[in-house]
Amino acid sequence: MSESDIEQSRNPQSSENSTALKKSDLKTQGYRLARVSPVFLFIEVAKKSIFPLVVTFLGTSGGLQDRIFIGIAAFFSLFSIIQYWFFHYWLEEDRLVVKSGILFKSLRQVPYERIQNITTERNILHRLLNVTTLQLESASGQKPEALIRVITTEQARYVHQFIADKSSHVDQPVEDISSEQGEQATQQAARQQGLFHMPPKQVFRRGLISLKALLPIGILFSFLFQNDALRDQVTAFLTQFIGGLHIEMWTWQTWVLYGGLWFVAGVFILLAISVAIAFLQFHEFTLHKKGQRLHIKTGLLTNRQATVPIKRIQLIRIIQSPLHKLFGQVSIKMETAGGVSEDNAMSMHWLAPLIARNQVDDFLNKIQPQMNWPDIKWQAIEPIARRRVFKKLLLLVLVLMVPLAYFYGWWSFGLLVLLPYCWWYSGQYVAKAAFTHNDCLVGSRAGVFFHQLQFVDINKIQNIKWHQSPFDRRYSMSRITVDTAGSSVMAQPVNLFYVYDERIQPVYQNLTQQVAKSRFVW
Amino acid sequence: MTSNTEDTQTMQPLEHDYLRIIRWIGLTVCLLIALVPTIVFGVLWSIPWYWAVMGWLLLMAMLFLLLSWYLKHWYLNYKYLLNDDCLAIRRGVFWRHQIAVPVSRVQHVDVNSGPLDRRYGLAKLVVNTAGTHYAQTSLPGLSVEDAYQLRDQLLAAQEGDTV
Repeated sequence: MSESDIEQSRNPQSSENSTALKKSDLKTQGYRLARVSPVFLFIEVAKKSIFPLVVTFLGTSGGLQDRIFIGIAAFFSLFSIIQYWFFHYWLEEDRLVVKSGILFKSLRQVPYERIQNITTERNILHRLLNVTTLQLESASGQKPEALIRVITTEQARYVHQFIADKSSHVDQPVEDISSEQGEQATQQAARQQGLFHMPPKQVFRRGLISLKALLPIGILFSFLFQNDALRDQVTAFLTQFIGGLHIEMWTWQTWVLYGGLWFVAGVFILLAISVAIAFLQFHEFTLHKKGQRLHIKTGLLTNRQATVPIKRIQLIRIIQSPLHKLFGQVSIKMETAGGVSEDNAMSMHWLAPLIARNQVDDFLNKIQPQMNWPDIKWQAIEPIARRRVFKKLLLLVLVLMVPLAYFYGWWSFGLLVLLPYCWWYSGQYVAKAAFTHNDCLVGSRAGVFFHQLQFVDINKIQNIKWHQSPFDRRYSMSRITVDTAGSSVMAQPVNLFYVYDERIQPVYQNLTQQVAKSRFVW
Repeated sequence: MTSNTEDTQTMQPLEHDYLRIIRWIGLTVCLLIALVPTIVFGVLWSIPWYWAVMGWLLLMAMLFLLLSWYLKHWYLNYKYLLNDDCLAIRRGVFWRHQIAVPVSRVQHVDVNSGPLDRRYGLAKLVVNTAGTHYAQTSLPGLSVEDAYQLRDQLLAAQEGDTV
């Protein structure tokens, strides 16, 4: 205790103004998680191992399946209870300390000043049990600094408040869960203030456009047909069902009719599930700008809130699929430095899940006024690049023809009918690709069907790479790639390509100087 | 290769001893590569040992000639330049690239020196940025003094700049 006393006397002001600081905060036993926490820990562990579980369930059969299942469940519940026992955290004068681990103990000290962001998560189960998951993020690293799963909502608000008092980066917690009656009114007000808000109609559209259900349904079907017992059941059911329809007497019209009906039903189910997913994810998506931060709130059952300092946005990506085009909409994503990588569900990567195309400039300009978004001038790539794109496609077609020629002989030359399409595609590709470069940003766009625009703030550029392949050299072209922090290795960096070297060189020189002059701030 | 030319002339080449090092490495690789077909064909057709050795030497010589041509050009194309703005490194024979690391973005700098490098008094400079795709840029074949000097210059430029 003596040490904490000294610290308090050294810094008397902080203990005065933070009413929240009690002496009990400094004891080393610290707080425990909420008593219901093992439930959430269990869910989390189960979520991570859902894939092996599904495999065991569908891959095995009979009594073995049950036994494996019970074993795994027992192990996980024991594991999560022990995890709960061994998790302690406490608030010190200048840092949060988290002690966890059973065999491999870890003591994590997070200075309040390093905490950039606090994310809270409350899904329906959280709300029923009145608890919250807290995630503390710093500027560096792929993982969150601390993840407290779960503590009571009062305690979460208290911790949030406490850190907000101490840290210059974190905002005060938003009083959103205070009263059920007031919620309607505050929501109404929030919508009006918000920079961007998705009404249910827009969320519905997002579901139709994203087709998020395609992947899970695909996986489900492939599993159904992996498991022998299940497949037999399904086929038995289907033959019984279709047998009653006297399939042998069908004419082609009946085939078309039934096939069409099945197709329509399938599409309908796909769309319905996609819309449901969209509502789960983006119900009441609201984005506020407060000072230099963005507050994002979203989710139907899982209520997620995130705060993103605007200066931490490294790259803005605008995505447009053919379906987006049909509705005249686009999606806007961002990449943030440090923070937490994409696979962590709790951090926010959406600026606008779906926004009308003509509002984009206005919206981005409100977020980053210094960038002058409506003024972006695109510079086309060289028209002669059409030949290069066509040659690439030609090569692809020829390579595809080799195995076909082996199996089908002369018939493989049928593939050559694709060539006019390839010529058209390469024309379109060249027409749609472009780059931009001005005082504050550099950007590129590409893609015929799935069109994508990417922008990087000059201040956020880490390094610049100029390349020239032998093919580039033949056309005296070259390309530039711009690298940023916090991107994922899989993501495409901003790339200026199929441009004559004499046009690219000034851009390269200019960019280098601009970046060298600017300062990079986390 | 248009307006890069004037730049290329002012850019610094690597130490000449570095070409020797990569030649030695190239020679070892050639020896190993040439060994494989020699053993395989020797076992398959039971060729007398002197033919096998001759074939091996011939194959190795051919490979090494090709490789040393390539290495020479690789070495000649490898250039660097540190000015007030950035460290620019240019390399590549067929696929050429030039990477510019702005001094203000350098996170930390390492100087490494392997056993072969030490034999010739060389060192390798490794510059790290916070980027994702090309976070690490290395510049081998510097004399130890040059490497330390470059490192000090990069770090000195850093000091005034970042927090």
